[in-house]
Amino acid sequence: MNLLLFEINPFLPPSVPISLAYIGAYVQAKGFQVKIINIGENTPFSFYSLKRIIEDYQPRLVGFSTYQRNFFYVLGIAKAIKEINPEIKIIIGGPQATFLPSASLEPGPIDFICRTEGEQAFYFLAEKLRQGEKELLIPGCSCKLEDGHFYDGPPIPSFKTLDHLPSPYLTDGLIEFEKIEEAILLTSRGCPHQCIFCYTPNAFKQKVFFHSVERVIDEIERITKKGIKKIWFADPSFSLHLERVEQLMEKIIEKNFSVEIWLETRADLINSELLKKMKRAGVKQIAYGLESASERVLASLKKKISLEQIKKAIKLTQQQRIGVELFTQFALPFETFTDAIMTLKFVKENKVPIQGNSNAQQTQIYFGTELSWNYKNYGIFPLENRRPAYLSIGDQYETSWLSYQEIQQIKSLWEKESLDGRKRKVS
Amino acid sequence: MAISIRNIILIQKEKSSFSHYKNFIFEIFPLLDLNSNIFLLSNAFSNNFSPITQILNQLITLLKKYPFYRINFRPIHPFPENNFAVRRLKEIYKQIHDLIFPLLEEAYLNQSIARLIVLPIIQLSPDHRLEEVSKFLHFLRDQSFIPSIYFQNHPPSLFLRRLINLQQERLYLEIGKGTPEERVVKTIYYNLQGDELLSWIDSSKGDLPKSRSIIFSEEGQKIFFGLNKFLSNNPLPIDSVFTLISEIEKNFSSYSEELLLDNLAVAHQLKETLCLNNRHREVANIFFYLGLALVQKEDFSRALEQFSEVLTFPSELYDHQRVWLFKALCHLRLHDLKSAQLALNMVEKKDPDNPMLHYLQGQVEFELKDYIEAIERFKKALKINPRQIPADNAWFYMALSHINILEYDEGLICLKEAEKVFSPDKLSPIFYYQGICFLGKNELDNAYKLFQKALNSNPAPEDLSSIYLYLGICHKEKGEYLIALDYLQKALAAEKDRLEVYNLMGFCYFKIKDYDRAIECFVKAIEIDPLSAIDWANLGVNLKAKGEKEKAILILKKALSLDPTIGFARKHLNELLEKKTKAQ
Repeated sequence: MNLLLFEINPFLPPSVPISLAYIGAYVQAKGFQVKIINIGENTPFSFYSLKRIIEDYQPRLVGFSTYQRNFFYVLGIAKAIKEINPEIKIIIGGPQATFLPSASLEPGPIDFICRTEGEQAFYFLAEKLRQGEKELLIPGCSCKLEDGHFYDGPPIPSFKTLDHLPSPYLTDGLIEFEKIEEAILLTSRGCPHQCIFCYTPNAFKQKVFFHSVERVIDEIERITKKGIKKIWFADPSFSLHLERVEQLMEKIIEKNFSVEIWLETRADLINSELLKKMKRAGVKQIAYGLESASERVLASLKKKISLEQIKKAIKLTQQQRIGVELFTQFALPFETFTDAIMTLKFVKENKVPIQGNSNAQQTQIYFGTELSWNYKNYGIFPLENRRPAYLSIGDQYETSWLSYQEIQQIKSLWEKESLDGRKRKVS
Repeated sequence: MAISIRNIILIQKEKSSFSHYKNFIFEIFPLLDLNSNIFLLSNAFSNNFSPITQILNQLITLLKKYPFYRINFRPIHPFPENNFAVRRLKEIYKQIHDLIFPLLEEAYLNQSIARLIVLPIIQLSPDHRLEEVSKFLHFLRDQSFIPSIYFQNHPPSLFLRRLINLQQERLYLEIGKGTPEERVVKTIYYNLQGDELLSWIDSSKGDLPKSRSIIFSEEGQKIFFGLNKFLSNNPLPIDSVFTLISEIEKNFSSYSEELLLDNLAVAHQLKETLCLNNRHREVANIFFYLGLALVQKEDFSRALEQFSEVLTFPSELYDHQRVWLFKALCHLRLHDLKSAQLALNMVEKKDPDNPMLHYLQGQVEFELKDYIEAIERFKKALKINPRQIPADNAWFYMALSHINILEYDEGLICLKEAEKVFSPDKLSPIFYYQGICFLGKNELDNAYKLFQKALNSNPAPEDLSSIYLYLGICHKEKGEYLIALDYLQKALAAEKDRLEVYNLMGFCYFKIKDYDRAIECFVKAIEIDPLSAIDWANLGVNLKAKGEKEKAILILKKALSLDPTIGFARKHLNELLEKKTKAQ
């Protein structure tokens, strides 16, 4: 049985669809045929191409990665697929789907909403379809039944480790090595912290799961042998377990891989010994979450990190001649105009170039975050109540401390300081 | 293969009618890229607006049918000559705004980018009153349009350039010759292809961008695939969309020299326009990446031209050191060691610790046969940062340098390091040179094993002959002449007319006393290199062994005339002359 997975990001150049590739590797190992369609900005793709794929490949099930920014396009393509072949079942997953209100999709082309990590849920669904079952109440999913309403399937127990999931890089046919310059690796999933603007802690119930060092090394070995020289560790907090990351860096040094590494971590999860090892292993850039340079605002985010810790991490990193990036936001709860300017000043004073990920962005209020659940308590006033129910507040809001005009003013101040026209790598 | 058309240029005729476009747009729409541009060239924008409203209405209907599409609609028209016409034009743009408003609202509510954006391109001539133009541009911005200015046949004044906000808006500078219509199409086409080049650079992998533009002329309702077909008035043979699909498939299917030339032409034609738009860094980037593409195609001369273009931009704007390094590489590949050295000197002045500098300097020294200096340079490059150089080649060439100065143990150490970083399917040369090292150390069994390993490791066809030759040498050294001859025959089958193979075969035949075959081999060797004294000498010795004394004397004399130091030739000649004297 053929399965099709879509990654659509019409506003950014295409990157490795790592989450879909994990799902692909999992179901491929269970005997299904899988194809991933990766559409980024400028990827040649038309309705004609879509029709040809659907007619030639004849997938029984199509899955989409969804985010706030691509949801509208996902719904459009899903509708077109149903028009080409109404028998095809459609499932959505990804950050937007996990906490999405089911009712928002009741009229429309979506049949299943994945509420957990995708590998097992997608497999259960594919397997039921293979067996020709009619009753499709799938574990880990909300499922549209015959009455047109969604019903939740039973929960799926979380993984304890990650190594049992087949690697997308060690599985043939999922990653188009010849088309990518940079490989994205996930050595862990989840985050134990409670930042109010982040979806990850709630999606993973504040637990963290890891791949073994050996598995990561096997992946890097394959990646480098395929001629890829850049690696992006996309873990939310890469150095959460210091000892494990040290081992990983030591192994990379020992194996003498010729790679350049980009990673993101928390400023309180770094020390000079580790940074030395990282430098030797080929780490070129480390991104830290600063969010705001106001201690008061930082405290309200429940990030549990101080400006001093961030300053220290920046200094130590720069001492090792590793580039620093700072994730910053504006229009955060409790943030005044002066606070926002302080953040811009902080980035400049610490000699972090305002480019790439160091371009600030307005806080996005996503489903599944503390901020989204309790926005009123955080002084957030949505500007638009007509938005479709499948979208969260996003950036359409004012705060008790900043008006819409002031938010636009802060945005343009950052724009003026940007060295690269605000091209971020991570949103 | 994903088939899609990125850009359509519609050319409106004076007495335009929507019926001329209706079928074309309807049929072509499913082939459009999810994010496409539709240009409308119109000289009668404000006089005959009805077809344009209808085109927009049709696009809106299609966007509803395909809710994952995004279109940039770009009308190109002259700025009106009088105030009345300006007022009329404003009215038209207000109507356009009303038409597209539902899609603007849809975008706002979905927190996304509008799926139909109108980006007017206003053609200006030197006679236009700038204040009027400025007011009109402000009006367009207020109505949520993003305007651009197109300069016809005249360079823009500084004042004109200031009318445009270059963060979002664009200045077009007319390119090329021909009719006014041809010039506009050419200008738009080159700008579009320039955009493709810029996204090609962003994505940094893959083939050069191919044209994804078609031109539809309302006059005669002709469809042209690409600029050249339009300029040579060569429309698609029939009006069926299927023909178009097959044309696009053909175009997408392969790399062609023409494609590279087209992109080079685009880069050179667009240089001035992009600089006018303050996009100097992007222009330099285009030349640099085209240079890299040419390096990949091993067209080093043309690559050098592109790198020289990059160097015309100031060093604050573009990293000159990187460009000089690639220039050095090209010169090296063209065996112009002097220019390579000059390019490397430029890098050494500013960035003496650049690992690539030392790596390439090592290559230059290797070519100059200064192996000791080459070893030092490769060592330094690897010490500074093995990640920033082709470490596999650095170790490999360091090994070859050691081998060339007979330092076989050091050669083996370097080859071991190279083995760690070489791609597993490309290890054959490593094993081969390890074999050479062991042969140099007189460890015949080890050498033989490694030559066998080289043979079994998927060697390149051009390396086969050498591997067989050295397997033959190993057997020859052991006195196993028949087996040696077997390998040498295989060496000849892999590469005919190889001097050292004939020489060695001649030697083996001599050893097994097959003088006729030995003679054949040495004759063949002399045919390949008539100045090969050693083969003349060997020929003489075999003739002597066969008893052809007179011939042998002549041949041995010839050998010694070419190289008087060949001891065995002199010995055999003296013997023959002595016997001859005695006999007389």
